Amino acid sequence: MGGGQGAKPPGSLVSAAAYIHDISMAIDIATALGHSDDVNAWTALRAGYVSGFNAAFFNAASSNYGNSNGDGLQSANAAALALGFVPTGSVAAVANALQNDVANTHENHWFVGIFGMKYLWRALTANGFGDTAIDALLVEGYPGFQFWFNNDLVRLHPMCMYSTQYSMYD
Amino acid sequence: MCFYLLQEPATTMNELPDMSSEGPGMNSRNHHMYVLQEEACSASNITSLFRLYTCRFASVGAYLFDLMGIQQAPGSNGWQHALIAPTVISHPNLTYASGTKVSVAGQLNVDWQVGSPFQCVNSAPENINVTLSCPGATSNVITNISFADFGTSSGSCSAGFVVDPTCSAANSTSIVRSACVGQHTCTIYVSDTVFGDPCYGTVKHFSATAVCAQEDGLNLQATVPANTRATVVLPFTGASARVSVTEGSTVVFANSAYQPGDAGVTGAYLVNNGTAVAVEVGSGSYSFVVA
Repeated sequence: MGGGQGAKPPGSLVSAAAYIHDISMAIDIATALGHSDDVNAWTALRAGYVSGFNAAFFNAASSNYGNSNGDGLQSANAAALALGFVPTGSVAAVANALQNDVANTHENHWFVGIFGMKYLWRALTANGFGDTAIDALLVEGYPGFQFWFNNDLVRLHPMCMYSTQYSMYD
Repeated sequence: MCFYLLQEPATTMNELPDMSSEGPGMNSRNHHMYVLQEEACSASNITSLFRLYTCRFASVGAYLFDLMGIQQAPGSNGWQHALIAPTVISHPNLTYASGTKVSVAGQLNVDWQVGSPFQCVNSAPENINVTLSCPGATSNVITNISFADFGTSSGSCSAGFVVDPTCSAANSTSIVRSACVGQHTCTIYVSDTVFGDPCYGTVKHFSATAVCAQEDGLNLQATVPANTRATVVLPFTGASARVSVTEGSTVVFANSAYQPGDAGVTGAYLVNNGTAVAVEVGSGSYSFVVA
């Protein structure tokens, strides 16, 4: 996520979301292994962190996640939806806010980076906005994949690479 | 991972789509979170628009793989039980998807298409009975005859037909409409006794396309590896009481209930709050029509 794609969501939001997601995966593993004590303990732990996440990052008035500037709104809302952090009664409102930001505010352009890219499509689709997801995948202009392809931005550039291993995202 | 960098050394994934305007702020030309597992390289309308790059976007490619629909069923180990659950979105640029999953238990293939289930007769010789019918339940009736011609038309079902003005029974379409619209199935004796003779002494043929009521139908072909099973979740629109699922030529779900009798199919039932039919199958190849 660079300056060209707008401001990022707060770093603390991304870190907290990743940590809670780790706990979710640990719960899945403990479930598969039949360790019910761990499942119960970690489920309670996760519930506490989700409450804290919502207290810190959810603006119930606007049904958006993130800071008051709306930075990284698409990433923040999409991750909160896809990772199951949104309070049940607010899921539809957050999904509507996300869809509105993509379809209207940004005229079908995604405005996410490597974090939100993972969640945007599924968050829209799972909440009845699959058509917006497809529109955003295919939209022409910037930012967008068509822009990426049409400007030949997938070729190898002769610059040194500092990071070649972002496996935490896989 | 699929090592496209090795296969096609001129290509990589930048961290930022606008890298040329980001300057040195973008450190990475190898963001393989945009790359994905080789097996997840599925095809769809969208893939063709993304051209060959699609398979390199992990997050996007995984989503496209979701649309195609192969997963492992919850609780299954070693892909003994697959869940084939396509995500069908009403969008003009998403009308089909296909893909392959090479699992430890074998290879699964899925290929689905949306669209109006219709029957098309390419070119039937004269003086025979031709039957037009819609797939699935008898409630799925013919709503229109979009083309019918008794004469020497050219073309085909896939490419479209072109009437030969020198030899075409003028009332072809209206005759077939009278016989077929509102019917689940209809039979027409294609001859000059029914249509009149548009060109005496010339060998004629009959071509027709029938459109069916359930235009949001779904066709799905799947291959399930030996010694495994799968649950195929087929979404539909409209009332569940009217939906039917046909496998091959056998109805497996109709009137809201499983219809036993198809080899390999062991059950069918409504899921997802009555918006999809789940069909339980064993190993083998299947061709489903939801109408």
